[in-house]
Amino acid sequence: MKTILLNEFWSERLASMPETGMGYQKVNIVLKDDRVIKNVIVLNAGECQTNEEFDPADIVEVELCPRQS
Amino acid sequence: MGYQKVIATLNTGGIEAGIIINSQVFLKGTEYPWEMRMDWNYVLNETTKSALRVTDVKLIPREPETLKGVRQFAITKEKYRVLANRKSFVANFSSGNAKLILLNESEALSIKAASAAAEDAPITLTELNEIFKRFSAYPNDKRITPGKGLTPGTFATTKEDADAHIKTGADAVARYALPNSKPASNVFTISPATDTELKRGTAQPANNQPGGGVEVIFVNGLPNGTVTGPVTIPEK
Repeated sequence: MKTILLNEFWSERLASMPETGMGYQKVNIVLKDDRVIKNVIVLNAGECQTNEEFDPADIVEVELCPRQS
Repeated sequence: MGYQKVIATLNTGGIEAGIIINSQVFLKGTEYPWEMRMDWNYVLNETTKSALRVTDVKLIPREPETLKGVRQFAITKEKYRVLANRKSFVANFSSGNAKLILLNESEALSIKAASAAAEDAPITLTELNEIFKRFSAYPNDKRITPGKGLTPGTFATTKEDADAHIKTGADAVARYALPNSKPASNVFTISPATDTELKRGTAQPANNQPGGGVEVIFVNGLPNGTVTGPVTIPEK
Protein backbone atom coordinates (compact mmCIF):
# COMPACT_ATOMS: atom_id res chain seq x y z
CA MET A 1 0.00 0.00 0.00
CA LYS A 2 1.47 3.35 -0.98
CA THR A 3 0.50 6.89 -0.06
CA ILE A 4 -0.20 9.41 -2.81
CA LEU A 5 -0.75 13.01 -1.78
CA LEU A 6 -3.56 14.97 -3.36
CA ASN A 7 -2.91 18.51 -4.48
CA GLU A 8 -4.40 21.46 -2.62
CA PHE A 9 -7.44 21.72 -4.91
CA TRP A 10 -8.66 18.16 -4.32
CA SER A 11 -7.65 18.23 -0.69
CA GLU A 12 -9.77 21.33 -0.04
CA ARG A 13 -12.63 19.83 -1.99
CA LEU A 14 -12.53 16.62 0.04
CA ALA A 15 -12.34 18.57 3.29
CA SER A 16 -15.67 20.15 2.37
CA MET A 17 -17.32 16.78 1.65
CA PRO A 18 -18.73 14.43 4.32
CA GLU A 19 -16.47 11.88 5.95
CA THR A 20 -16.93 8.11 5.71
CA GLY A 21 -15.65 7.71 9.25
CA MET A 22 -13.59 9.69 11.73
CA GLY A 23 -10.69 11.16 9.78
CA TYR A 24 -11.16 9.39 6.48
CA GLN A 25 -13.17 9.17 3.29
CA LYS A 26 -13.64 6.33 0.83
CA VAL A 27 -13.66 7.66 -2.72
CA ASN A 28 -13.55 6.78 -6.38
CA ILE A 29 -10.91 8.71 -8.30
CA VAL A 30 -11.55 9.47 -11.97
CA LEU A 31 -8.44 10.11 -14.10
CA LYS A 32 -7.89 11.95 -17.37
CA ASP A 33 -7.61 8.66 -19.28
CA ASP A 34 -11.09 7.62 -17.99
CA ARG A 35 -9.58 5.17 -15.55
CA VAL A 36 -11.54 4.98 -12.30
CA ILE A 37 -9.67 3.88 -9.20
CA LYS A 38 -12.35 2.64 -6.85
CA ASN A 39 -12.64 2.48 -3.08
CA VAL A 40 -9.56 4.53 -2.28
CA ILE A 41 -9.17 5.44 1.37
CA VAL A 42 -8.14 9.07 1.79
CA LEU A 43 -6.80 10.11 5.18
CA ASN A 44 -7.06 13.67 6.42
CA ALA A 45 -8.54 14.81 3.09
CA GLY A 46 -5.24 14.40 1.32
CA GLU A 47 -3.40 11.09 1.75
CA CYS A 48 -4.61 8.40 -0.67
CA GLN A 49 -3.93 4.85 0.42
CA THR A 50 -3.78 2.78 -2.75
CA ASN A 51 -2.02 -0.03 -4.55
CA GLU A 52 -2.55 1.61 -7.92
CA GLU A 53 -0.09 4.04 -9.41
CA PHE A 54 -1.42 7.39 -10.63
CA ASP A 55 -0.35 10.98 -10.97
CA PRO A 56 -2.45 13.31 -8.78
CA ALA A 57 -2.24 15.89 -11.58
CA ASP A 58 -4.32 13.52 -13.76
CA ILE A 59 -7.35 13.54 -11.45
CA VAL A 60 -10.49 14.95 -13.04
CA GLU A 61 -13.00 13.97 -10.36
CA VAL A 62 -13.15 12.59 -6.85
CA GLU A 63 -16.45 11.09 -5.70
CA LEU A 64 -17.49 9.69 -2.36
CA CYS A 65 -18.24 5.97 -2.45
CA PRO A 66 -21.69 4.85 -1.43
CA ARG A 67 -21.58 3.38 2.06
CA GLN A 68 -21.73 -0.41 2.14
CA SER A 69 -24.48 -1.49 4.50
CA MET B 1 -41.43 23.31 -9.99
CA GLY B 2 -39.71 21.27 -12.68
CA TYR B 3 -36.86 19.98 -10.56
CA GLN B 4 -36.15 17.46 -7.84
CA LYS B 5 -33.39 17.49 -5.23
CA VAL B 6 -31.72 14.11 -5.23
CA ILE B 7 -28.77 12.01 -4.15
CA ALA B 8 -27.64 10.42 -7.39
CA THR B 9 -25.58 7.29 -7.85
CA LEU B 10 -23.36 7.61 -10.93
CA ASN B 11 -22.11 4.97 -13.34
CA THR B 12 -18.69 5.30 -11.70
CA GLY B 13 -20.23 4.14 -8.43
CA GLY B 14 -19.84 7.58 -6.85
CA ILE B 15 -22.64 9.50 -5.17
CA GLU B 16 -23.43 13.16 -5.62
CA ALA B 17 -26.04 15.51 -4.30
CA GLY B 18 -27.73 17.79 -6.82
CA ILE B 19 -30.89 18.39 -8.77
CA ILE B 20 -32.61 16.74 -11.71
CA ILE B 21 -34.23 19.22 -14.07
CA ASN B 22 -37.23 18.20 -16.15
CA SER B 23 -36.59 14.55 -15.24
CA GLN B 24 -33.72 14.64 -17.74
CA VAL B 25 -30.57 16.39 -16.62
CA PHE B 26 -28.68 15.92 -13.39
CA LEU B 27 -26.63 18.86 -12.11
CA LYS B 28 -24.28 18.47 -9.19
CA GLY B 29 -24.84 20.68 -6.18
CA THR B 30 -21.79 22.73 -7.07
CA GLU B 31 -23.01 23.41 -10.59
CA TYR B 32 -26.60 24.49 -10.68
CA PRO B 33 -26.60 28.10 -9.47
CA TRP B 34 -25.29 29.30 -12.81
CA GLU B 35 -26.18 26.40 -15.12
CA MET B 36 -29.87 26.96 -14.42
CA ARG B 37 -29.69 30.36 -16.06
CA MET B 38 -28.41 28.81 -19.28
CA ASP B 39 -30.58 28.14 -22.29
CA TRP B 40 -32.17 24.68 -22.03
CA ASN B 41 -30.73 23.53 -25.38
CA TYR B 42 -27.27 24.55 -24.18
CA VAL B 43 -27.73 22.47 -21.04
CA LEU B 44 -28.88 19.44 -23.06
CA ASN B 45 -25.94 19.85 -25.42
CA GLU B 46 -23.49 20.00 -22.52
CA THR B 47 -24.83 16.73 -21.12
CA THR B 48 -23.89 14.91 -24.31
CA LYS B 49 -20.23 15.75 -23.60
CA SER B 50 -20.21 13.97 -20.26
CA ALA B 51 -19.46 10.28 -19.84
CA LEU B 52 -21.18 10.31 -16.46
CA ARG B 53 -24.60 8.68 -16.22
CA VAL B 54 -27.04 8.52 -13.35
CA THR B 55 -27.83 4.93 -12.45
CA ASP B 56 -29.99 5.52 -9.38
CA VAL B 57 -31.52 8.43 -7.52
CA LYS B 58 -32.83 8.99 -4.05
CA LEU B 59 -35.14 11.95 -3.61
CA ILE B 60 -34.33 14.50 -0.92
CA PRO B 61 -37.61 15.46 0.75
CA ARG B 62 -38.32 19.13 1.23
CA GLU B 63 -39.37 19.42 4.86
CA PRO B 64 -38.09 17.65 7.98
CA GLU B 65 -41.59 16.40 8.76
CA THR B 66 -41.67 14.61 5.43
CA LEU B 67 -38.39 12.74 6.00
CA LYS B 68 -39.90 9.38 5.18
CA GLY B 69 -36.52 7.60 4.96
CA VAL B 70 -35.60 8.72 8.45
CA ARG B 71 -39.00 7.70 9.78
CA GLN B 72 -38.71 4.31 8.15
CA PHE B 73 -35.29 3.84 9.69
CA ALA B 74 -36.58 4.80 13.14
CA ILE B 75 -39.51 2.44 12.70
CA THR B 76 -37.16 -0.36 11.69
CA LYS B 77 -35.12 0.12 14.83
CA GLU B 78 -38.30 0.31 16.89
CA LYS B 79 -39.47 -2.95 15.33
CA TYR B 80 -36.33 -4.75 16.52
CA ARG B 81 -36.76 -3.30 20.00
CA VAL B 82 -40.34 -4.53 20.19
CA LEU B 83 -39.39 -7.99 18.91
CA ALA B 84 -36.54 -8.20 21.42
CA ASN B 85 -38.91 -7.34 24.28
CA ARG B 86 -41.42 -9.95 23.11
CA LYS B 87 -38.78 -12.69 22.97
CA SER B 88 -37.56 -11.70 26.41
CA PHE B 89 -41.11 -11.74 27.80
CA VAL B 90 -41.83 -15.21 26.39
CA ALA B 91 -38.46 -16.44 27.68
CA ASN B 92 -39.55 -15.58 31.22
CA PHE B 93 -42.31 -18.20 30.92
CA SER B 94 -40.08 -20.80 29.30
CA SER B 95 -37.47 -23.15 30.62
CA GLY B 96 -34.48 -25.21 29.58
CA ASN B 97 -33.21 -25.05 26.05
CA ALA B 98 -36.22 -23.12 24.75
CA LYS B 99 -35.54 -20.34 27.26
CA LEU B 100 -31.89 -20.18 26.25
CA ILE B 101 -32.78 -19.92 22.57
CA LEU B 102 -35.32 -17.17 23.22
CA LEU B 103 -32.87 -15.18 25.35
CA ASN B 104 -30.22 -15.45 22.65
CA GLU B 105 -32.67 -14.30 20.01
CA SER B 106 -33.79 -11.42 22.22
CA GLU B 107 -30.20 -10.32 22.76
CA ALA B 108 -29.46 -10.45 19.03
CA LEU B 109 -32.51 -8.29 18.30
CA SER B 110 -31.55 -5.82 21.03
CA ILE B 111 -28.12 -5.40 19.49
CA LYS B 112 -29.72 -4.88 16.09
CA ALA B 113 -32.04 -2.24 17.57
CA ALA B 114 -29.25 -0.40 19.33
CA SER B 115 -26.46 -0.50 16.78
CA ALA B 116 -26.59 1.37 13.56
CA ALA B 117 -24.09 3.62 11.90
CA ALA B 118 -24.52 7.34 12.54
CA GLU B 119 -24.86 7.87 8.81
CA ASP B 120 -28.15 5.93 8.84
CA ALA B 121 -29.51 7.70 11.89
CA PRO B 122 -32.08 10.47 11.95
CA ILE B 123 -30.86 13.98 12.65
CA THR B 124 -31.12 14.92 16.29
CA LEU B 125 -29.94 17.81 18.48
CA THR B 126 -27.15 18.32 20.99
CA GLU B 127 -27.99 18.76 24.65
CA LEU B 128 -27.00 21.66 26.91
CA ASN B 129 -23.22 21.75 27.53
CA GLU B 130 -22.65 18.47 25.68
CA ILE B 131 -18.99 17.86 24.84
CA PHE B 132 -17.56 15.74 22.03
CA LYS B 133 -14.10 14.45 21.14
CA ARG B 134 -12.42 13.87 17.83
CA PHE B 135 -9.40 11.57 17.50
CA SER B 136 -6.99 12.17 14.65
CA ALA B 137 -3.61 10.94 13.55
CA TYR B 138 -2.95 14.48 12.36
CA PRO B 139 -2.39 17.53 14.56
CA ASN B 140 -3.28 19.60 11.47
CA ASP B 141 -6.61 17.83 10.98
CA LYS B 142 -8.17 19.29 7.84
CA ARG B 143 -11.74 18.96 9.12
CA ILE B 144 -10.88 21.67 11.65
CA THR B 145 -11.33 25.06 10.01
CA PRO B 146 -8.75 27.84 10.47
CA GLY B 147 -11.19 29.54 12.84
CA LYS B 148 -11.51 26.36 14.93
CA GLY B 149 -14.86 25.16 13.64
CA LEU B 150 -15.76 21.95 11.79
CA THR B 151 -16.53 21.33 8.12
CA PRO B 152 -19.93 19.70 7.33
CA GLY B 153 -20.12 15.94 7.68
CA THR B 154 -17.32 15.64 10.25
CA PHE B 155 -17.29 12.64 12.60
CA ALA B 156 -16.57 12.73 16.33
CA THR B 157 -17.56 10.82 19.46
CA THR B 158 -19.08 11.74 22.79
CA LYS B 159 -16.87 12.80 25.71
CA GLU B 160 -18.43 9.97 27.72
CA ASP B 161 -17.43 7.33 25.20
CA ALA B 162 -13.94 8.77 24.86
CA ASP B 163 -13.36 9.07 28.60
CA ALA B 164 -14.57 5.55 29.25
CA HIS B 165 -12.77 3.72 26.47
CA ILE B 166 -9.89 5.65 24.92
CA LYS B 167 -6.52 5.87 26.64
CA THR B 168 -4.30 5.66 23.55
CA GLY B 169 -4.33 6.49 19.86
CA ALA B 170 -4.43 2.77 19.10
CA ASP B 171 -7.58 2.45 21.25
CA ALA B 172 -9.26 5.10 19.07
CA VAL B 173 -8.30 3.30 15.84
CA ALA B 174 -9.92 0.10 17.10
CA ARG B 175 -13.05 1.56 18.71
CA TYR B 176 -13.95 3.88 15.84
CA ALA B 177 -12.87 1.37 13.15
CA LEU B 178 -10.34 3.68 11.51
CA PRO B 179 -8.16 2.69 8.53
CA ASN B 180 -5.13 4.53 9.92
CA SER B 181 -1.82 2.75 10.20
CA LYS B 182 -0.84 5.58 12.57
CA PRO B 183 -2.52 5.86 15.98
CA ALA B 184 -5.11 8.63 16.32
CA SER B 185 -3.31 10.31 19.21
CA ASN B 186 -4.41 13.90 18.67
CA VAL B 187 -7.56 14.71 20.60
CA PHE B 188 -9.73 17.69 19.74
CA THR B 189 -12.46 18.86 22.09
CA ILE B 190 -15.71 20.04 20.52
CA SER B 191 -18.18 22.24 22.37
CA PRO B 192 -21.20 22.94 20.15
CA ALA B 193 -24.11 25.16 21.07
CA THR B 194 -27.26 23.53 22.40
CA ASP B 195 -29.57 22.22 19.67
CA THR B 196 -26.83 21.76 17.09
CA GLU B 197 -27.90 19.22 14.46
CA LEU B 198 -26.09 15.91 14.48
CA LYS B 199 -26.58 12.19 13.90
CA ARG B 200 -25.73 9.59 16.52
CA GLY B 201 -24.84 5.96 15.97
CA THR B 202 -22.38 3.17 16.56
CA ALA B 203 -19.13 2.66 14.67
CA GLN B 204 -19.64 -0.48 12.62
CA PRO B 205 -16.83 -3.01 12.16
CA ALA B 206 -14.63 -1.89 9.27
CA ASN B 207 -11.01 -1.64 8.17
CA ASN B 208 -10.16 -4.81 10.12
CA GLN B 209 -11.16 -3.05 13.32
CA PRO B 210 -13.99 -4.03 15.68
CA GLY B 211 -15.66 -0.62 16.03
CA GLY B 212 -18.42 -0.42 18.64
CA GLY B 213 -17.75 3.15 19.78
CA VAL B 214 -20.28 5.95 19.76
CA GLU B 215 -19.98 8.00 16.60
CA VAL B 216 -21.65 11.29 15.79
CA ILE B 217 -21.73 13.32 12.60
CA PHE B 218 -21.96 17.10 12.68
CA VAL B 219 -24.19 17.29 9.66
CA ASN B 220 -23.76 21.01 9.00
CA GLY B 221 -20.34 21.39 10.58
CA LEU B 222 -19.75 23.85 13.40
CA PRO B 223 -18.99 27.57 13.54
CA ASN B 224 -15.65 29.07 14.49
CA GLY B 225 -14.54 28.86 18.08
CA THR B 226 -16.17 25.53 18.91
CA VAL B 227 -13.06 23.33 18.72
CA THR B 228 -9.99 23.31 20.97
CA GLY B 229 -6.81 21.27 20.93
CA PRO B 230 -5.32 19.02 20.04
CA VAL B 231 -3.91 17.45 23.14
CA THR B 232 -1.78 14.38 22.61
CA ILE B 233 -2.40 10.98 24.21
CA PRO B 234 0.03 8.03 24.13
CA GLU B 235 0.19 6.13 20.86
CA LYS B 236 -0.07 2.66 22.47
